[in-house]
Amino acid sequence: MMKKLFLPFLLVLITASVLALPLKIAFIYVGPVGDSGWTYTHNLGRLYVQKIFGDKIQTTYIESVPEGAGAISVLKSLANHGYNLIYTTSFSYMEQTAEVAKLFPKVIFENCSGYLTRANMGDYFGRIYQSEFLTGLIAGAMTKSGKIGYVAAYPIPEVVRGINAFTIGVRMVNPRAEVHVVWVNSWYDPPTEKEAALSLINAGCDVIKSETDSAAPLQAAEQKHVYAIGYNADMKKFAPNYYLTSAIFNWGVFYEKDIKEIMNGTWKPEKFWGGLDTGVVDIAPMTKLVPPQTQKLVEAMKEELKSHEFHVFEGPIYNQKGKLAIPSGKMATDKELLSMNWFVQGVVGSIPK
Amino acid sequence: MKYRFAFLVALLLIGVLAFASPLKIGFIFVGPINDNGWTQAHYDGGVLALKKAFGDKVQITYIENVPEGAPSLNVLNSLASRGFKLIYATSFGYMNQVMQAAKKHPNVIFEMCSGYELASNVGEYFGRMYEPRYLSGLIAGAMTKSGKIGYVAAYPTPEVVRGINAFTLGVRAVNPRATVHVVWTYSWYDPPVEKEAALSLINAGCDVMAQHQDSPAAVEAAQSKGVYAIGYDSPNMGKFGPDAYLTSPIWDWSAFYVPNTKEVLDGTWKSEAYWKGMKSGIVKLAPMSKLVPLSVKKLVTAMKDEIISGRFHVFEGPIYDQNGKLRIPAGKIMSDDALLSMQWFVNGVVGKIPKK
Repeated sequence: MMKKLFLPFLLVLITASVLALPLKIAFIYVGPVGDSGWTYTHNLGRLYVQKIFGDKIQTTYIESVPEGAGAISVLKSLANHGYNLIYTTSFSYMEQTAEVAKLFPKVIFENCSGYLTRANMGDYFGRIYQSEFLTGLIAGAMTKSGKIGYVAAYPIPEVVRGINAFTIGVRMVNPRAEVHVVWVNSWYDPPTEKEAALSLINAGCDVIKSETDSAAPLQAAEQKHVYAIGYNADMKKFAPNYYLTSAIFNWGVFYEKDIKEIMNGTWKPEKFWGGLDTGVVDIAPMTKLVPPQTQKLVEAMKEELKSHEFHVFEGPIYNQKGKLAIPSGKMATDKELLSMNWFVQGVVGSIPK
Repeated sequence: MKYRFAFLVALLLIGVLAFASPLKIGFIFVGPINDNGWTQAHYDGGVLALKKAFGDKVQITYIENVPEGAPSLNVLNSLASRGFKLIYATSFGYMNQVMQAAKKHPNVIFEMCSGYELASNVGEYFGRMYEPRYLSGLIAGAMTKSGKIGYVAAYPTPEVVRGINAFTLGVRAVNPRATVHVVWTYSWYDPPVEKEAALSLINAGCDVMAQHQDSPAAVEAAQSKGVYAIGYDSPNMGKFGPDAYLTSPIWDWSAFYVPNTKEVLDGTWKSEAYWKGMKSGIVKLAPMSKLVPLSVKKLVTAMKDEIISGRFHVFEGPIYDQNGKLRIPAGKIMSDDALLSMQWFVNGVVGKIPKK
């Protein structure tokens, strides 16, 4: 009898002690929280979970952590300081995260946009290409010149996929429009981003879509009186008279789910890649510049995506050279999406080797 | 016992008699059955589909080119007197005469297409053509280069106005600056006048032609001038503009005629006002031609799914009229009553609704 009682008692004790101690969570950021883009949205996610979980969690963050090897000492120091959960919010920390995860098996690590997993390390990302597609519908409806400019960071699959999804949206409503791509070769370099946007506008583009982490391309659009579509976060304030919408991340949706699993003891390392149906990606509210009929069309297509009736990368899809890349009735697999290195028809630009 | 037996025999006899003598069905048509439009769609989905579905159980006749209004009364009375028990009157202009004939022949069932009056032996039937018209508007909006789309329209009735509006809402969803230019012909079927109207619109800069007419004349005009065309009524219209034709919003009347006739045969028929949309199959978008880019086809297919699933409503607000006045507030869906009496144009239509 005594023995039987003892086990539940012990369990209660353990649970109580876990609940009593707040979960210590650290975020490492690639840029400043004031970048208005990528890091800003991750920090919004941190603030969101801090609000939701209150004193059950304790969060901290470190800004502008160097990419690559430099991140290792930061990660080790956090683990040594008793952080039980560490979010590394850039692809460029993936290998370092995996390395440090090996050294601290009791700490849980989550890497954003990478692909490596370990017993105590998961990956997370959003199917932002679905949001990009929706913003493409808007760009295609709004352009008068039929030329749309796209300010892109690096020629990696994530970015190529976004450009393609955007262009698929553009061409659905405006089959003759073109999407002109300029590479910045940086995630965050406001002067270069702005320069890229201005060069596109000078070439006749009358809608600018940004995919980099700052709002500089939107500021350029506002200055030159062409429409602007942002990325990462709602960037309305940077182009108040020309802003249409943004493809956005709601990282809090993932952080909340992830922390709940850890608290419930059900956490397992996974590769989370949620779409519009999960809420981790979305588009920011469309401004009044987007006419009501177009807004209704975009909302309807969002429903199609959320209900999985419609898929952005379902064939027939042709590449830039007019060759059938995804046959009719076939859908690009996640593996194909994650290694995409070709442009769809309608993109003007090339992918550097 | 004896009585019960006699009763059963009588029932059997009635049953046998009912099955033995086919149901006599009459159709009256406003045009010729080979108009490639309205009447042909009723002939194909009515006469042909019923023969195929019910064989010997029905005996069907039809009368073509029956004028609307007073002259149709004689035709209706004559059919009823000759033992036709189910009469389909396939044009709005027969409605008053149908009501009169129905009163005189209470044992005959009348079905009136596109009207609104009901009686115990009169039903109404129609389709929500505005749904595929919206889809065809998406295509027109994507295809136009000039941003001007022409619309050859018969009469300024609510049905036609509703169609123009739905089409324009589709156009504007993909191309918010495009305009839809309307010319009235004051006839459902008058090929030379329809063609003239189309040519005037093309000369004014329209590079996509749409229509609410029962002949393919506007499609032919588009073909001759090298612009795109959207037909109506029947997929046959594509034949008249191989280099112009994009698609047509079309009727498949069999979706109504077959189940309705079965109800009459089964003795379960009741008078009702039937007004269904793409979900029922009575209205459709004809297959899109090769001229429609694949990307646009995908959009149209997805939006068709949204309409059929009931998630998207063509006449859901915010919808503004021609003068920029908010007519349907955000989140509100127009009632059937309002749809059936629509006498105003949405933002984007260039043209006027003449006062009666």
